[in-house]
Amino acid sequence: MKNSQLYKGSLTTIVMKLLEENGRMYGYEITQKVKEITQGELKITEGALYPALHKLEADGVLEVEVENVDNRLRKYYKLTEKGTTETVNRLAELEDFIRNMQTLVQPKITN
Amino acid sequence: MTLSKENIAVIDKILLKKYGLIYRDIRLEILDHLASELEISEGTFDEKISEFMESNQEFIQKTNQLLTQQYSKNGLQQVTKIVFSLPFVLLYAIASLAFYYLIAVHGKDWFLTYFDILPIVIPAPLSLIELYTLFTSKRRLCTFSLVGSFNMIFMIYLFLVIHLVRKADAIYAVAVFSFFMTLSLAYYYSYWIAVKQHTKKLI
Repeated sequence: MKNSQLYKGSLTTIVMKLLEENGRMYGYEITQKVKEITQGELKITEGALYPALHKLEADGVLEVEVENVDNRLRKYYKLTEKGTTETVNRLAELEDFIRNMQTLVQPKITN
Repeated sequence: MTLSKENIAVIDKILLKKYGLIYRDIRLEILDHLASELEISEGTFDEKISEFMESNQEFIQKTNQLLTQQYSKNGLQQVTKIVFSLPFVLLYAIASLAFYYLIAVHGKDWFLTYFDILPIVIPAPLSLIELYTLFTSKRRLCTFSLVGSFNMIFMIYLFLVIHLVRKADAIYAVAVFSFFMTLSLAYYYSYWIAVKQHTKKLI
């Protein structure tokens, strides 16, 4: 991810949001989608992505489907029922966070 | 470029032999990531592969290391989850009553002669099977981490707790012994669930 601590805490929320919008995705696809949406501004470090995906899977937020694609096995991730609810909560939390930060950084604009 | 079955086999072999990605479940994910990236590049496979793998060295090693650490933690979390589950508590209660009855009827010495080593003997076959898979291409980190966590607890029983069971009063000995007996049975169940889930994913 872009070299900043600010983004690190948001990685799982970004992944969950993407999965909410796209149904199911595989690891490489997630990195490319983030790059595409942010026009290359934000780049997920692959080394951080896979541990995050596995953690979400272990927590029951994501489930996995493995398929044979182009001569190899591919792991697709998708949100579970619990994950869908969790995504809504996390996004609301993130929005609150952004609003509060904006108030702190630019109090005149937001007031 | 499109990667053939042979090209994929080459990448798989490099990941296994050069980078030491011995677990199949981790290797398949990293392999797919690398293959997806390689497919969008220009040139032929033979021209690109060495340089490409070299440029991804850090990603491969870091991901492997982080996932291995994470799975080890997951193994312990799974054991904790099992111990606090209702079926485990019920089985523990039944085992405690059964062994308490056996001790009351036959005495503690009789019980120690035949039973005290059972929490180590019962899990042994499964641990040996998992150990065997480590020498084959079927090794999986998801089951190995679970087996590792369980066996760590069984080793604590073998080297420490068994002496307490032998010395303690019957009632305390039964409580501790029954816990490890229940755990050794839960070990088989958890392993079966882990394998089932892994197999389901691969279908």
